[in-house]
Amino acid sequence: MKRTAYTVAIALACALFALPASAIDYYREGNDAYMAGNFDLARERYERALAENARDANLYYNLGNAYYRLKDIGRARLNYERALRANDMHGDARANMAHIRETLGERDEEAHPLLSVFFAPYYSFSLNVLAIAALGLFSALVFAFGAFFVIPNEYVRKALVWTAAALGALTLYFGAQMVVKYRIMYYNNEAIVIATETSAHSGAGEQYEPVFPLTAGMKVQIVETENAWIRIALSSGLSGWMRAGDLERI
Amino acid sequence: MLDEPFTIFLAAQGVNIRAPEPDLSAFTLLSPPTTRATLELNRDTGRYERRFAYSYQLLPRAPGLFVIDALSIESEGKTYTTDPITVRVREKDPDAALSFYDPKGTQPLPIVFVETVVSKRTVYVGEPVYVEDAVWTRYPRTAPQSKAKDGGAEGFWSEEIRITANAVTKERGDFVYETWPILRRVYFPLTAGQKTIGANEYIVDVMNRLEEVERLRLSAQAAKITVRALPDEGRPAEFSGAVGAFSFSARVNITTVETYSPITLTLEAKGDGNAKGMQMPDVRAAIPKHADIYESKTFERNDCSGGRIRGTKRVEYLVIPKRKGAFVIAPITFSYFSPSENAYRATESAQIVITALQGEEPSETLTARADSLNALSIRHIAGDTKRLSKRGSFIFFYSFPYVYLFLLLITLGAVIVVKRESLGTKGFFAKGRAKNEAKAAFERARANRANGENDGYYSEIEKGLSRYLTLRLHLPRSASKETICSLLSVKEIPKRTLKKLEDVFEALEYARYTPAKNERAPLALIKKAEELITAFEERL
Repeated sequence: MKRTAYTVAIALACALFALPASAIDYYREGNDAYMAGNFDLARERYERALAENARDANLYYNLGNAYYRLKDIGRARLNYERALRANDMHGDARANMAHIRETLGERDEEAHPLLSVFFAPYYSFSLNVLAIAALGLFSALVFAFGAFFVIPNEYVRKALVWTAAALGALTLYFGAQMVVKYRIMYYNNEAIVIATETSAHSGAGEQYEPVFPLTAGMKVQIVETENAWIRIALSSGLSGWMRAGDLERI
Repeated sequence: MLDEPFTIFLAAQGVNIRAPEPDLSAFTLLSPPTTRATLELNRDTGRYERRFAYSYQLLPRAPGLFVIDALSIESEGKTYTTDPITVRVREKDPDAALSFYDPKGTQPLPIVFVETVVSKRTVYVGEPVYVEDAVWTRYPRTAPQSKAKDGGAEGFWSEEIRITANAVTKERGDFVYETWPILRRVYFPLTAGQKTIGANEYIVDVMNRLEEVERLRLSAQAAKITVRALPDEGRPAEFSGAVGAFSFSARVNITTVETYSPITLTLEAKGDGNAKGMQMPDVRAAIPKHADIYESKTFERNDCSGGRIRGTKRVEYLVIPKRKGAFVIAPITFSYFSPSENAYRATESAQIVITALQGEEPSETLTARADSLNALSIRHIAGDTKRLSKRGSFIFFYSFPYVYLFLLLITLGAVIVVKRESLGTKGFFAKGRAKNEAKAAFERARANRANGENDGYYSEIEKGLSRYLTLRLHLPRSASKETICSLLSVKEIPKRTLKKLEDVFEALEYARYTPAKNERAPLALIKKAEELITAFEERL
C-alpha cells in the first residue's frame, strides 16, 4: 500500500515539474537534424520544443545556432540573448554572442571607474553566484544572531554584534547587486532587430521620414508603443520609430 | 550687438589695494562677477602684495553708445587710473540667432550655428570622407541636446567616429566663439556619381539675456561629393576592393607539425580604410596540393578611435598537411587602390616554410572538426540532455532557496524560544514547565513520605509550590513567600485562595516541628497544594 502511494506521489511530482517527453524528443530531433546539416528542420524542431513551454538555455542556444547557420543573424542573436537570460553563465552562448557583436561592430561601453569598483561583483559574477553569496551571507548573519542568544559570554556577544553588523552590510551589498542584475536581465525592455535592413522613422508611420538605418541583430531599447509602431532608442542616444514586426522582444 | 553677451576684465596688483567697483548700470549682469584674489610675497620688495582679477559677463539692454567710467585704485599714496571703456551696441539682427550659417561669408555671422567640415569633396568609390559637424557659439552657456534629424546620405555607407575633443575658443570674423564637435562620421561612397550628404539638424539649448533656457533648432550644411569610379587601368585580377593604405601579412601558429595535425594560418590586412566588404586573396593557390585547407574564422573591424578609421580584416584557415616533409606556403599578394597615389598597389606576405613530421593516420574526429569549422565562427550546439528546464537557471525561480530561508528562520526562531524557555522567564512553554516542576516536586515529596522522611516530604511540597509560583509570576527563584503573596494579590486572585495559600505555607513551615494530629493531615497538605495549583492555573 505504502509503495503504491509513493509511486503515485512520484508520478504526480514528475507530471507537475517535468516537461512532457515530447519537448526533449523535439530537442533531440533538432540536434540530429543540425548534425546532419539540415538547419531548417533543426530550427523547426527546436521551436516545437519551445512551444512545449521549455525555457532551457541549451535549447535557446541551439536554436540560435540553427538561425545563424540559416544566416538569420537577428534571430540568432535573439536566441543567444534568451539563452543568456536563462543562464547567464552559458559560455557557448556568450562566445557566439561576442562573435555576432564583433561582426556588427558593437563595443562594450566602458563604465565609470568608480562604478566599476562599486559594481565589481555585478560585473564579475553570475546572477546565481550573487544569489548564493547573498544567501550564504544571510545564513551567516542568522547564525551570528542565533549565537548571540545562546552564548552568555559578554565579550563573545560584543564580537557577535560587530560580526552581525558586517554580515548585514555585506548581505545588503550582494543582495542589491543581485537585484540590480536580475532587474537588468529580466525587466530591461530590450529587443533585437530581426528585419535584414530597416530604418527608424521620425514618427509612428511610413509617412514620416527615415532618420537612421538599422540592421538585423542590433539590440534596441523599447521606449513606447503606438499601434503597430514602436519607439526605440539605441545605446548611442539615437531614437526613432520602427515597425513592430521588424523587431522581437528578448 | 543687442542681446549679445560680452565680458570685461579688471585686474590689479599692489600693496594694500582694494578692488574698485565699476558702474555697469547700463548693462544686465548675467551672473555674479568671477573673482580671483591672492596674496603674494614680492621677492624684490619683501612685502606682501594683493592681486585680484574680476570678470563681469554683461548683456546690452539697448542700442547706443555707453561709457564705462575710468576706475582708480590707490596704493602707497599713489593713484592708478584706467582708461574709460566705450561700448557701442548695435541693433539686433532679428534672424541672427537662427539664420543659416553661410560658409562663403555673404551673410552676417549668427551668434550660434553648426558648421559642417568635409575632408574631401572629390573621392573615389570606397575612399573615406570625414564629415564633422561643430557647434559655434557666442552665448555664455550653450548645451547641445540631441540630433533632431539625420540628413541621410544615399549611396554611402557610414560609421560614426567617437569624439574626444573638448570645446576650444576660436576667432571668426570679429568675434570670439567657443566651438566643439557635435558629430563626426566617416562616409564610404558605394557607387560613382554626384552624391549629397544631407544636412543634419540639432536641438541646442542656449541661455538668453533673461536667464531663460531657449531651445533652438540648428541645421548643419549639406555636402555635395563627387564620387569617381575606380580606374580600370592597372586593376589587378585579384583586386581586394580595399581603398586606402594597407599592410598585409600571413603567419602560422607553428612551423613544425605532424601530418594530419592542423596548423592555423592567419591572413591579416589592416590600414587606413574600410575593412568591411574587403575580399581576402585566394589562399588555396599558395598551399601545396598535399595539404587540405579550411576557412575557420573571419574577423573584420573598423576602429574609429583617434578621429580616423582604421580597418582590420583577419581570416584564419586550418591547414592540414597530409604528407611528411617540408612544404611552403608561397607569398600571397594583397592588392588595394591608393587614392593618394591614384593607382593600384600590391603588397606580399612573406614565404612560410613548414616541416611536417610523420603522424597518425587521419581520424574522423579531425575531419569532423575541420568540417564544423568550415565557414563557421560559432561554437557547436549543446549536446543531449535528460531534461529541459522550464524556468531558466536562476535559483530563485525554484522553491529550494525559499524553503531554505524558511527553515533557517524557523531554526533561529526555535533557538530563541528554547533559549528563553531555558531561562524560565517567558514564553508559552513556561506554563507547562512550572506545572511539571511542581508535579515532580510533589512526586518526590510522596516518595519521601513513603520512606518515612517527613522533613523531605514537607520541604518538597514547599519547593514545588514556590517553584510553580515563581515561574508563573516571572520571579527569581529566591523570591520570598511574602513577595509571592503580595504579587498574587495584585493579580486579582480571590482572597479565599490567597488565604488558603498563606495557610499552606504556614502549615508547611510548622509541620516539620509539630507532630501531625492524625495520619491524614500530611496527605491533606499535598492535596491542598495541588488544589491551589489548579486554582492558579485558571487565574494566572
